[in-house]
Amino acid sequence: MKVVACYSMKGGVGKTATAVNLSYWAAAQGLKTLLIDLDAQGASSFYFRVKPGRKRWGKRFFQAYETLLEQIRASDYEGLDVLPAHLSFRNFDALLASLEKRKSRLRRILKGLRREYDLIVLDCPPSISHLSEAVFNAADLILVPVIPTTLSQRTFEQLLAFFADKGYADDAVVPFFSMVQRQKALHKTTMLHMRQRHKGFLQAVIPFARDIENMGEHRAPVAVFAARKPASKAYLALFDELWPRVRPKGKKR
Amino acid sequence: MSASAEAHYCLPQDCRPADVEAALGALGHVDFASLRREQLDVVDNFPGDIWADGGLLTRTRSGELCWWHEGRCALSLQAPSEARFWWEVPASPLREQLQRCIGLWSLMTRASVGLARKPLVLRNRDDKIVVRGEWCELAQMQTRFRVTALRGYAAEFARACEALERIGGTLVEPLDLRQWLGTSGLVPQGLELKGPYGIEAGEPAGAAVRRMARSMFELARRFEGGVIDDTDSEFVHQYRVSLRKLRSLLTLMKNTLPPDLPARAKGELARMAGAMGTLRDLDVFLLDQERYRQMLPGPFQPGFDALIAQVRRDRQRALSATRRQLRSTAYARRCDQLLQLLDAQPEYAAEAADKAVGRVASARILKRYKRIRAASLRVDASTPDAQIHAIRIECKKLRYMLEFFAELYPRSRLKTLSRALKRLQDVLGRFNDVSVQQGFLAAYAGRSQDDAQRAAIHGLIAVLHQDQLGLRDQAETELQQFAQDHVAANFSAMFGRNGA
Repeated sequence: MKVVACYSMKGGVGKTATAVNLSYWAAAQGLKTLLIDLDAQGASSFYFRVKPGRKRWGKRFFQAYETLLEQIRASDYEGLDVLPAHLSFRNFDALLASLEKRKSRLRRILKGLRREYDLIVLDCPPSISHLSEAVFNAADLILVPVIPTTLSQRTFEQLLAFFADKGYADDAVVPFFSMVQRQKALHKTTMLHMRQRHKGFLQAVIPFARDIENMGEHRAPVAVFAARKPASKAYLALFDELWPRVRPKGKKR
Repeated sequence: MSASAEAHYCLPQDCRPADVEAALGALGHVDFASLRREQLDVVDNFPGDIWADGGLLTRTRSGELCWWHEGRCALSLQAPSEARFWWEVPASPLREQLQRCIGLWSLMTRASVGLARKPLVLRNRDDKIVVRGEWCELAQMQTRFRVTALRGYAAEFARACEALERIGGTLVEPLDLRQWLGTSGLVPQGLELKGPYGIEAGEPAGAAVRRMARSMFELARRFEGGVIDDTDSEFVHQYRVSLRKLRSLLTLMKNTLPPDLPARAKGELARMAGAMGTLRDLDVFLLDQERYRQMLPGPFQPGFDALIAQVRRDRQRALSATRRQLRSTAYARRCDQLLQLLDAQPEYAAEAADKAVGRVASARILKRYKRIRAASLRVDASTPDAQIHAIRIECKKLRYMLEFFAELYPRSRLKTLSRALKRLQDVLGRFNDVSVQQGFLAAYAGRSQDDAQRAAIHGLIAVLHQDQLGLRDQAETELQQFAQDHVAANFSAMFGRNGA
């Protein structure tokens, strides 16, 4: 089982759209997939029309594995389950701060799911916090959407500096360009510049597209309502590029 | 990702999809997909070996083959619609399963079932799917509904089940298509190629043997249609095998029958087989053509192609002769005469006609084994091939005897002896085959005017001769094994006076 976190310190960069579409393609390609919506806003749960239970179970997230299992919901797509966010997830940082071994809590809790799933996708909230560190410890890949602008570049480099400072291996960090508008000179030059500075950028590029914005209206991954559009193809290309790193042993496509 | 829970309901005869829609509609929004009708063909070989083995193979009109095991489609693949033999199915576990089960027989449709399916989803207020289901009509005989629970939506699943019960749905086990086909009587009975013949150890041998002979003859006649239609090579093979077994039965048990019956019947049977011997030899060669092709280096391939073309033409001629013969009035008359001969009340009882068939069979089997054992013990490197072939024929008769009367003996003990005999026969059979094939090819070489063809034939003969030398050594070893004291002791224990 592989764990892929869709993470960025910055909000509005396409983390949730990536998590939703990546999960969809993984399941469509035969990987048993679980999307965990760690963001209390619950956007990816909303996209999959999955509502959390009424109980405020967030405080038991890192302690009671059975409770976590009870909260998993099937999506409308075969092979894809969703663990919906709950408003109580907003307290994760305070909760982790009160716990021992807080950095490894998430990793240990996810370990229990390896019998059931090939891939876990974490949709993370935009912050750098105890929860983020728990995610960095748990994830095999940290997928970072970067809008090719000066501010996003700065944020990405802050993340790399944080990794260096904390001694985390930065080869787990997999950046890719998101919300790209090729007609903008700034986007083009920033992409060129960043690709030169950081070798790990994926070739797949997610465009700024109305179809991605329309996910909220359709409440579905792009491929479901705009299968032939560039945005859908871009997410598939992203998954294709990740495939060698998330492929379960012996699994063929 | 845990397996989804399912519930299966048998719905009342007059229940329609609209009734289900109305019942589930109270729980949310129901989306019924359009009705998909499909024809499911139950395919098997002519004897029905897949079905007899507890399996089920189905084919849809789009060419999807599905191997059912314990009520579920365990193996499936898309096969070309013209695929009839196991080797025409793409390499897969299903092909291996077919190879084990149907041998050289072709697949044919044994029954057809009309299926109508209508998948359904139940959505909640957020338009999220909370329950899946499928309406299924089986051959317009039964209507079922399957409800599938989705993870995290157990309450909705339970409510959907209650709604189905309210419209008269009865909770049933998941549909086991094989079981259902079995009880519906849609699948015809298969053929038993090796008995049983319904005999009892204590009944008079004469009557039992005549009944067995009649049953073998009836079996042979069931292959006539496939021979005429040229469905596959097994029809010719099994027709000949059935007649050969019948001849052996009459010879081996002749002192239980009126003195003139075996000789007269065998005469009729020999004439019935007619040109089928040639047809079979040509089939055997063609079935093995890929193996032969691989034996020859590249420059011999054009000559081999010419040989194959010649063999195919000869086969067509032999088939035409066989068809003419099977359709002739002379053949029909011969069949009637044979049946009359087998059914006629004997004018006087033969020597062993009234003895218990079990005792007679045991004595014959043991005698045959002792004869083989004595001959085997005399075999060494200097023994002529003809003598080995003579032992092979004796072994075949012994195997037929064990097969004919198998139902009189404990299965497990008989299996041990049969296994030892089969191992020996396999080697002797291959030894004989390479010898026969060399003769077959030599005849073609003699007729051929084409140098390339003759070169290919001589190349094949050389390779087959090498095979024969290797098999000869193996045959000697297996004969020694079969003559060992413990095998002899087993035969005596089973078929001797105090045996089973």
